[in-house]
Amino acid sequence: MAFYYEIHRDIIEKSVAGNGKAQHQLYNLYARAMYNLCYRMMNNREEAEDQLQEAFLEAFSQLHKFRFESAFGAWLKRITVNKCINALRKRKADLVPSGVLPEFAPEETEIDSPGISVEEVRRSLEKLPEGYRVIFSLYLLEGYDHVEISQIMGISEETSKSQYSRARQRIKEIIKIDRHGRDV
Amino acid sequence: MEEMFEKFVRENREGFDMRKPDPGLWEGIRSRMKGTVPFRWKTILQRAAVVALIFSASYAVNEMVHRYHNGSLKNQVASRAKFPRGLKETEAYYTKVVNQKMKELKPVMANCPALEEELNYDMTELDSVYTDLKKDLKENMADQEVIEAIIENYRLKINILEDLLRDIKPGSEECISKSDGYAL
Repeated sequence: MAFYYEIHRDIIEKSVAGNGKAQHQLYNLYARAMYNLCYRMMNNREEAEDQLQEAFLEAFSQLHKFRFESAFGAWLKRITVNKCINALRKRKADLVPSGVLPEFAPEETEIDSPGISVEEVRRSLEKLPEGYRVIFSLYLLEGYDHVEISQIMGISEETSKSQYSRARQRIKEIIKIDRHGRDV
Repeated sequence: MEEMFEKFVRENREGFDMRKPDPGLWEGIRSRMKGTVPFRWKTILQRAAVVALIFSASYAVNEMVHRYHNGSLKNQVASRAKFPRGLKETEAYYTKVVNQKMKELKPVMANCPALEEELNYDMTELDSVYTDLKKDLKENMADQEVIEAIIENYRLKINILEDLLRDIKPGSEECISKSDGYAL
């Protein structure tokens, strides 16, 4: 079995042994990335903080099972994603929205990518329906493929692909609407 | 072919992690970690392994020296006769305590299948150490070190069970979520 070279191995091993300083170090290394992931999934600061805490608590309690067969960040990210998905399910979020896209037809919403900004994409992401937002985040920002997303969300690979495509389209529409609003 | 939009997002990925978690979150995690299962028994088991190793080494040296200088069968028989009754009573006491703790733990573990599986695995490991020690006791003289190692074995089991009883609350969601899979 292949082992992944983990640059934080020492910190992880000390954390397993219960070293508080190492645990804090490990948290500091990953808290920001995981918090942003939580925020994108939950779309709400309080819930993002709750899920971040739950994810780290779970990670620390399961850390002795981490076998260095993958990157620690990937392992932690999967725990965090699972926590968020479970929380979204508890609040009965519509993770697979209907495919109806009002307002614009796809061919009308081409935007000039070099002209867009991160801030525009980020703001439009927050306006997406839950299911679109989650799939878009998992695929384009967290780097999961559609097979992995289908497993995480309990949907088919085809659904993941189609929902991602709709989410991407919707983001472009929202950016266009926002730009239009600013121009008026 | 990757769209310009996706290329833009991937190239500017870092810009999407602009939010910072509240600095106070770590304190919340740290304080709650005290109330979760610390899995100290891994450390305890490692200690048990060290104890077993030290015991084996000292036992071998002791036996050699003993046989060389005073190695009469008479001494060995006398020595054996000295301990079994006390050990039997001690074992009866510790077995009762272990069984009692296991009984108390059973309903608490109802929602923790993963944890229960791990506990069973570790208990089996300790049972295996115990079997070896009993074999040593039967085959050789009733050395005080063997008896101490047997008692230490019981104490380790009790420590593990007490830790779990202290740290897991019945129906705790922490336990329920442990059965969630995050195989990577």
